[in-house]
Amino acid sequence: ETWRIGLEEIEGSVQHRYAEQFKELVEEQSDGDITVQLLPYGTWGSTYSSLYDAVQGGAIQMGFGSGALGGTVPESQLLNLNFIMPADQLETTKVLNSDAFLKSEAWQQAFRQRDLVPLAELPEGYQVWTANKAIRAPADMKGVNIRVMDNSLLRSTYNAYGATPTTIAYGELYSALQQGQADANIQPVFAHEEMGFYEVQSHMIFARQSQFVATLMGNADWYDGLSDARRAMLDKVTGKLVRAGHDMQTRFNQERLETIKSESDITIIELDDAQRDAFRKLAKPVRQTYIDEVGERGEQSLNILLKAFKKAGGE
Amino acid sequence: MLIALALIMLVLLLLGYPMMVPLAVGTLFMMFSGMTFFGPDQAVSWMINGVGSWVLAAVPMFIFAADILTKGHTANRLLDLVDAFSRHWRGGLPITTAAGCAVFGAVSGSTQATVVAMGGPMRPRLLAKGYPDSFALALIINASDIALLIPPSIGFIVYGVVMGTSIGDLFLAGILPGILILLMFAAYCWVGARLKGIEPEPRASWDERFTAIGRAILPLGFPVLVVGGIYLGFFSAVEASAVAVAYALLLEVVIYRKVSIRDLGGLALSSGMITAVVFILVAIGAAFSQTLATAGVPEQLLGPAIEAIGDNKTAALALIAVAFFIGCMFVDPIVVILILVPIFRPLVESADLNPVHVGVIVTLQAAIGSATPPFGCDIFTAIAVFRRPYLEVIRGTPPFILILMLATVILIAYPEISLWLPSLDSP
Amino acid sequence: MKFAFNGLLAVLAVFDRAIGVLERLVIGATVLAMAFLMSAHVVGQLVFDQGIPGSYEVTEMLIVVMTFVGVSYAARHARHIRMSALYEQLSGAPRKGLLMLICAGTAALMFYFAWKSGQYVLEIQGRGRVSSSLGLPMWIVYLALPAGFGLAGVQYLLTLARNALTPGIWRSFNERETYSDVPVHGTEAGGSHDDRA
Ligand code: NA
Ligand code: NA
Repeated sequence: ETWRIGLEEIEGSVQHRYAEQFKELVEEQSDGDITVQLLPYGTWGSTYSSLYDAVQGGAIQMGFGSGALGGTVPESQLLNLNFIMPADQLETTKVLNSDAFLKSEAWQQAFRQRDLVPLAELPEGYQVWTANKAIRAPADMKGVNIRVMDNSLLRSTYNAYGATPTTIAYGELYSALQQGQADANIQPVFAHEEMGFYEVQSHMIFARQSQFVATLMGNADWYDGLSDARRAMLDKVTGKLVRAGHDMQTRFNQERLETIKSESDITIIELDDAQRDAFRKLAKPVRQTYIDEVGERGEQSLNILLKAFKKAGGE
Repeated sequence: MLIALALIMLVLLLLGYPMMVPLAVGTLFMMFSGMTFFGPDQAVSWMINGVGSWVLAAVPMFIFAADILTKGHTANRLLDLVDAFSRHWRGGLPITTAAGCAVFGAVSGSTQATVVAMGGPMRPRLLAKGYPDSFALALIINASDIALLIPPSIGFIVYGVVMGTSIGDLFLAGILPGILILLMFAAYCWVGARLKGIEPEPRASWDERFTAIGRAILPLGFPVLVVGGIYLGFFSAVEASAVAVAYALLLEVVIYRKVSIRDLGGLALSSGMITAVVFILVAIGAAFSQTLATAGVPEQLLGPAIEAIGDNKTAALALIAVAFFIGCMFVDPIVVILILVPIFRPLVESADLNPVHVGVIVTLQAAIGSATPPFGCDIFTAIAVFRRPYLEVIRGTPPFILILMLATVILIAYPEISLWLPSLDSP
Repeated sequence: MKFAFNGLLAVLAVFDRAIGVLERLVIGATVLAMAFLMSAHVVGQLVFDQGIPGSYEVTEMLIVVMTFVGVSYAARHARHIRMSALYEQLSGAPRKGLLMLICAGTAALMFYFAWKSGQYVLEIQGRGRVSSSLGLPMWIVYLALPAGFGLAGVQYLLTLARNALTPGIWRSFNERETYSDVPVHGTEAGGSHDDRA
């Protein structure tokens, strides 16, 4: 039996490292009955919806879905909302993978409606701003042309901060930043490094407003066809990988940040809690935008998540 | 299995099936013979995602802009300008044609549009002057290649986005190679005219030249607007294609009034269809290349070669050039760039090649491929526009292909030709 | 029998013309809409510091529609890119036979894709995929595939029927093959646009 996993990222990435450990554990736990095959970005296609199609259709059994998943599973945009998760990354990872959230009816149904099952959540580090000026307060955001994905929720978020969100294709982004078509950009640290965006920006701002989260999804029919023992094994493996995934991503992003620091003289800014509060206030109404857009299951998921964070002692 | 695949596709191609058929049948063959675990449902998804890409919007837009200019005055104004400076040379008329293609290339992003815009007015003049039709056709088709090297260029845009390379740098890098090829073609035309004993025309007066410059000044605003706008951060390279349309409308509809609003529907339809016949190949080509990739074919074919090359830069560039040349012989260049660039990315990295230099080599092969038998979209454009049979259209190509291959060798041996201009831009 | 077929062809020709008009409208409109949308987006960004939300995804949708509706339109005008060197060496009955073989094979492929992409549209509709910026249902856009492939299949079938029932070689339902026997001089000196549309 072969289980295939489609990755949104290339070899050596966070998703790839996670999937390698997943493979090792599954093959070990199944005594070699199962072979796991990794399909990095490019081997299943190059547009994310091809990957989602392949998992929804069952051609591959599992795959990651992150920022681009919003069209396929609208509720998944929950993970793009700012200031709903605690600043502590490990805490976030644990709560996202808790039964209370991951196995909640609302979150499960959001995916099942689309022939998918959420198996695990993999936060891949903070979404970090880079800009051509220091940004410490919403006033600094005023009128900044910040590139966001063509996604209404992110646009609302950055409009709320007072910025001018703009849409630029990922492939054109480097030159757009270089030529000044955009002033600022949001990516996880590793992407800033990988694409060299830091070379054409002067400041890097950690507001810890959200993480880049990928959901490991399975095809619903495939998952339902697994024996109870197999499903328990899957839970065990993903459970083991909660902590490991967090360690992997922090180490990975730390390495990449070191590269950025050594290759450039970019100024790194970390917002303190008071500064973050100013942004948090502005971001809060966007939660309603999310609810208006995706409906009841989204609202339930949001409430469950907020409650779980509260219970875990978050902000 | 691979041999069966290649045979089936080749037979369908040679029988004269529309190009989409061999690509589609090749895809389905791999799927049904179990070379990949993906089925035809995924082929549909790949087709949609293969064309549903923002970057590709540059193709219909540049073609539309060029169609508007071709219908209107611009093409002739550019030709008159070149003509006023070169007609008294030996081989002046073909040199004008080649240079006209280069100048029109600075206005348009596509070689096909250049074939139409320059070939339409120049072919009858070449024939009247006594040049054989096979020479005229080959000259028009091959000189149009230069359009792909001179910015703006659809080839560079697609390459830049797939490879993640600065399109601005690629645009700059293409200029000198484009001029180099123009000079080589001019030399060939000069020799040809001399051998055939075709006399030059009388020199244009300075009066005439100044008039020609004045008439061409607005059309020559194109490169300034497009390249300048990208450099100043006003718009992206893809968006520049729509700006080109807007400028073309301004010129031809508002200023010259040669194109009416009512013409636009027909022009849009024509541009849309030319785009569609290429894009259906991009769509099915995407499904084909993804299927190949999941079947592990690229590793099988290229793995040993890449291993053997290691970090030998010249060998790596030569392999890339040959692969793209062969690919472009059979498939549309945009499709080839989309398919092969990801496959060769590891080699570019392992051999530490400059991706801008590679972009020039690749785009040159794409340009050559558009004019190279058996499959070349410029050839098909010429067949459709000039209504000549296939074999006649390609008969005169071999000398041009040799020149272009020589240009490839020169550009591989002297990377500075490509990299000098972009190096001025970055400190 | 042959008379009945020709009558049928005449009826089909009316439908065919109507669909042809529709295809022209759709393709022309996608190009104009794309030019307008992208320019407006650029102007918006430059002048008002605010582009048009969703212009990227709408542009992508327009390309999809243009491409797949274009498959049928290009088939109607025998404009699909093909390598015709060998075909051109033939004349008379062998040439006609090869053309009919090409039409039959291509029609079969087009119908297969129409069927597969129709299934895909139903799946996407069932799963409720929407565009990420404007939330437009994607299955409506993807209808261009079964429509374009299906109509292209019909075009190739019609061309097959025309060649089977009528003397001469027809490269499409309405167009006789001409250009291999046009004299060299004096053709298409200037505007060649009508040929390209
Ligand atoms: Na050009
Ligand atoms: Na070719």
